[in-house]
Amino acid sequence: MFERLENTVALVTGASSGIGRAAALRLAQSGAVVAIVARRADRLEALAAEIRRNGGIVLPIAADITSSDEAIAVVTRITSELGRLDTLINAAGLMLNGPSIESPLSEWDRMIDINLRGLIYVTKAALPHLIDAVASSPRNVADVVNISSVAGRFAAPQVAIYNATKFAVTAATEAWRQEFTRRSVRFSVIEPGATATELFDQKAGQREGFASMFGEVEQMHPQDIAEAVAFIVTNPRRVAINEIVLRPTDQA
Amino acid sequence: MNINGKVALITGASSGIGAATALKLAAAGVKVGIAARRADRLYALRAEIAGKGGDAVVLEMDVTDPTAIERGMETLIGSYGSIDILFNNAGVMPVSEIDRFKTDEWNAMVDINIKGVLNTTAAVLPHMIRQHSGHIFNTSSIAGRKVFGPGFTVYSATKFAVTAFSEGLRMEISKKHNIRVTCIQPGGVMTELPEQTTDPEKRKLLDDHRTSIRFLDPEDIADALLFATQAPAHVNVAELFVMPIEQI
Repeated sequence: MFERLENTVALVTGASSGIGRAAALRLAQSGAVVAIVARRADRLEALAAEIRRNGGIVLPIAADITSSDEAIAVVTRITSELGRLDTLINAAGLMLNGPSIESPLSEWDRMIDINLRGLIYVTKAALPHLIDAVASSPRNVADVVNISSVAGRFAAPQVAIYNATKFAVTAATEAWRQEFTRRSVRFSVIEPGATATELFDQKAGQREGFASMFGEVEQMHPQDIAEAVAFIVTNPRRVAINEIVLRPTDQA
Repeated sequence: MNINGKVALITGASSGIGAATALKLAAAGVKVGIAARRADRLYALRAEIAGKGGDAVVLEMDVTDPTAIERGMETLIGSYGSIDILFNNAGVMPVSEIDRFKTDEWNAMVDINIKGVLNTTAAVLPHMIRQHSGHIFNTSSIAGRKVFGPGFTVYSATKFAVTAFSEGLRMEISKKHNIRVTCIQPGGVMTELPEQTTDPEKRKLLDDHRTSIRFLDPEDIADALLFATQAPAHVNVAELFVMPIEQI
């Protein structure tokens, strides 16, 4: 039932930490060649070394995908060096929540740049290659998995722009799914609740804000979300897992 | 999470997704209570499970009848001593347009798809609350996410109810009682569902649809359920939306 990913290439954004890092490790474990993308080169090198130690093949690319030129360059480099692109995991994300009057506009712009523009740029650059990959794929399918959030389903005070970017990701994924599923490119969205990543540390006070809403919660681990990514991608072609919502059992 | 040795109750187990899930869970070492109205089918399924080294008990029960469910639960608890997984899977989909006024079919959908889920949950939940663990799966549908056109109105209404009940149930019992709740929303799956449609035109529509695209196998949905229930205890897969790749 669940397939191996040998002879396929996966691109993972936001691979320097958290869900992106765990997804890259997990896909490499299933046999995929992984291109890992983030801004922090030192983190990427450390992850690349870990994947190689496990016997995997990896291409680290330090890049800022909020620039469309860099996003295109990343995809071009992958297809020229690795020959193909079968799987795209859009995991790069930024969360800067807080009172809307006090929050600087620059924080909102950065969330729009990373959560939305970066995802759009990479996806647009990848699409022709994903469609090409289907024809020569050992599995006859290509995949895009977008990491949205439960904040892409439910809005909350002081979360307006993060909500807006994640609702946008959920909506774009569904529209792309309808457009490309009959060409064997599956689009899936994962909407995780609280996960132990750097997300809450990206701005002071966010941990306290979460605790005041949900109390003490045993958060999910990045590996838990990576398992959902692997479940989606390793399903046989006929099975499209369009959407998975995961929450900590503790998070009501 | 290792599910070997756990106990499951599956409604609508006589065919389709329910039967496929019973086989997969049993193969993973889960003791399964297989519930439906058609006892002959259940005995055949039990024989198949036993032939593969699994353990199943037949529960002849109609989910619209709370007394029958209580009897089924007594048999299940008597046989296996506990219940860890409930799969509220029984459902019907007789398709007809509203102005045909097939009200008996509307009522059957409300009774089985909605009240059946409530009745079975009410019978199982006290056991799970007592043991402070459990996992409840409800079968909604793509029709529980978006309202389908002519003929599917009441079915969509019942499946929206299942989606809403699942989300509310999760909010109420996941943290408080450590019980996970998963709403599975399948698209087209090769099951007996079209056979319940009495309107000849709609029946043809349903039959044509499943020859025009490759529907999922019931086993594909069973795999999704296993993925969710084998996730670590601190992870609650709240929603799983699964479709054939060709279904838009």
